[in-house]
Amino acid sequence: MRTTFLGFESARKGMSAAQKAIDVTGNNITNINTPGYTRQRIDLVSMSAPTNGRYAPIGSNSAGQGVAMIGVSQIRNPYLDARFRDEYCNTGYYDKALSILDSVEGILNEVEGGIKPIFNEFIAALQEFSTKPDQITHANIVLSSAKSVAQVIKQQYQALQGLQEQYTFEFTVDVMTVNETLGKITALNQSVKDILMNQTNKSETTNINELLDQRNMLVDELAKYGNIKVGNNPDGTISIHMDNQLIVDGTFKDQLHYQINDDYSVQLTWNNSGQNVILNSGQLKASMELLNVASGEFKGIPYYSEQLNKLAGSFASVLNQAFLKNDGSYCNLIDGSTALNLTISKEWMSDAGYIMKDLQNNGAYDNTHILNVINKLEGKGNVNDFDGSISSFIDVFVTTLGQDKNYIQGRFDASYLITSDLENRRDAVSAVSLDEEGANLMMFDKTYKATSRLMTVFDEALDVLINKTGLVGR
Amino acid sequence: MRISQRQLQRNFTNSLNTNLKRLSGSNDRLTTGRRFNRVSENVTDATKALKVRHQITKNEQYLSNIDKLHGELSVQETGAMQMNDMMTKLKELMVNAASGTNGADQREIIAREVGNIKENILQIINSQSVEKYTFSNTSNSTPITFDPITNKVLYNGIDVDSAVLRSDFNDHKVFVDIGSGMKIASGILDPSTTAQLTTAAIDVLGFGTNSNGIPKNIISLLDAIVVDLKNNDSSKLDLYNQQLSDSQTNLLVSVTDIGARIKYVESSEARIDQELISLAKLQNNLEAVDLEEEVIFNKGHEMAWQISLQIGNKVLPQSIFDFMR
Repeated sequence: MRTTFLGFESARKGMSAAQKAIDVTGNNITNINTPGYTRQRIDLVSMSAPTNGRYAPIGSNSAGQGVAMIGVSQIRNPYLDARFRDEYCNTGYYDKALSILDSVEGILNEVEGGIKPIFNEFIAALQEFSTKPDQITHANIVLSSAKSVAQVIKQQYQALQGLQEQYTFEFTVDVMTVNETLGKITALNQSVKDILMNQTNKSETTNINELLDQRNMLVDELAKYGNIKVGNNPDGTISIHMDNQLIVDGTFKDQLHYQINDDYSVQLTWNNSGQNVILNSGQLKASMELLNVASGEFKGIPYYSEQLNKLAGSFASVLNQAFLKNDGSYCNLIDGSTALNLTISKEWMSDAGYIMKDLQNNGAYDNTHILNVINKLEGKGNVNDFDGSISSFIDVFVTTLGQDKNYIQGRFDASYLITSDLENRRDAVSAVSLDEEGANLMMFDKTYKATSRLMTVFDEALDVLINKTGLVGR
Repeated sequence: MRISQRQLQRNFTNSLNTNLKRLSGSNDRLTTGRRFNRVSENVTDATKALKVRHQITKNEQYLSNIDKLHGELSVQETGAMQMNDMMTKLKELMVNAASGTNGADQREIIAREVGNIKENILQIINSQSVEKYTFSNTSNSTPITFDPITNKVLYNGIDVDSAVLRSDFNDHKVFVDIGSGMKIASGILDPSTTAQLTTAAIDVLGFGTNSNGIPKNIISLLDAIVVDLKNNDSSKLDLYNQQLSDSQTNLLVSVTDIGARIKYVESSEARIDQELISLAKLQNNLEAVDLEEEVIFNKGHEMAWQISLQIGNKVLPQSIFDFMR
């Protein structure tokens, strides 16, 4: 037998479900621009009564009990999440590498300015001097342009050192961000676990969507720094592997530990195991590759600093073995042989004519020495471990830089496209569509009105039963 | 596929960015006139361009050296030719002086004329261009000087008559690099790979004495002639004439030598000029923007950018809410 007031209850449930649905729709609309927000959906099922047991309804008595809300779920595709995070890691790698190499290229720019014009001015000064080897004016110009060469090499070297320091600092900030992110993820894991453990109503799941959104955002962020694998635990928490090391599992977390050496090269180890961190991709890998000497696919800042040192060394050795003194030894024109300590010697600095005195052979000037320097500066084999001329040595490292940067730029563009395509595909599933929400809004509005009408129908029917039944002939 | 507002917005910003980046790249190229401003923008062309630039700088330096050579060598050539003319005139005078009909007065006049010619030659040989003596090697602070007290002719402070070896004069020729593959082996220059800038007075005028004890140096020789003519002594005139011819031959050797050097420098100049023209063309092809083409591209990029702005304006704000009542 059907109970008298059954219909009221199903109408009430319907109205309440429609109202909740409008609430959720409203939540979707208001959060359309919230970063990391995943669209939510109210989970409705048709009410069913138990079909066994002593008091179980018989026959069609259980039918028509209305709708039940079992929770509010979010719509996500874990496969797309994993794909996105893998590619986002590569984007992070190329992005970081690109920004470092771009800064390096800003310093070693031979297309506009650079070392070569200054170097060529020095050769021009020597050529001028070679036509008038007895004139102090020309010797003076040689001295001042030699000073310029030493200065420009030093300036570029110092600028590279500045970059090295700056990017080392950025690296430490990145490491701290990763550690902080790991902490936040485990804290969220804890909250999720607690809420799910303590929920009392087993038929309806507690809403933890906001926590999940936050956790997913943090994991996305983490993916930028290194390649990660995410796993789900039965208690609602997640585990994360980075570099095949388990770094998050429930409330357990590992931390990164960085070490900066005197030359601003960097080292990264896991706090728990003390092992070196070896990454496949990501920002941290890019930083480590381009800040450390001999590692990785691309030449980093130390490589270019080293080239400037070689350049300084060859400049010093050519000049110091050019001007023969009468006693058979060479004039010491340059002190130091690295980019940083390359300076004009005291003897030459205090007297521009220092190189002239020693051109005197039996009281007469001989310009062969000057021509010899020009020949050596233009000639081959004066740079350590390099066959070509000084000028082509500069060309080679500048071109290496250009090629690397060009390659990375291409890879970055490609990776960025893939990342934003995956983001789009993820948003196609998870993001809010206004049209859809608008349609839902209209639909739930109609549902609410219809269930209200349902209530009126039952009300009128009961009114007939209670107030009008048994009054025949009155 | 579901399309959400976030996708629309992302695609819109991405394409707007791409279009703006293209436009700004094109603007950069137009304002700088260069096809690339960083090596990484066009690695192959930039690498070639760096080499070409270096070649151009070198060749321009050679041209500037050649200019200098040209200037100095022409002055030297003119001076040497003038001296040669004077020597020819001198020979006529000497024929006059030798004729027995001339008396002491006549010889006195000829002596004065020879003296004048000597002064003229001295003036030419000691002439100065810009910062140096025209006819000097590296030691150019000392020209040919005539010491009136000792009656000696000095070059670099050394008596020209008593000098035996050329190296006694302690000077060096100045060679200039004109891009003919200058070679220096163990500190010794191969002169044929460079151009000689200087001509020394002592090489033009000669030094030492011949087998008859007559000075070979023209100034010294003329001096001796003047003294003899003034003393009406014609005994050595034949020997003087002989040496005069020899000295003029020596002078002519210098003249042809200077001429040959000018020829060499000119041919190098022509070669370098040619090379520079083709290098400049190459540089232009490598580095310079094809303006017409770039302007068309620029317009295209600008249009694409404006269109994406317009489309964004139409697409982004629209949704079902605009039509709900």
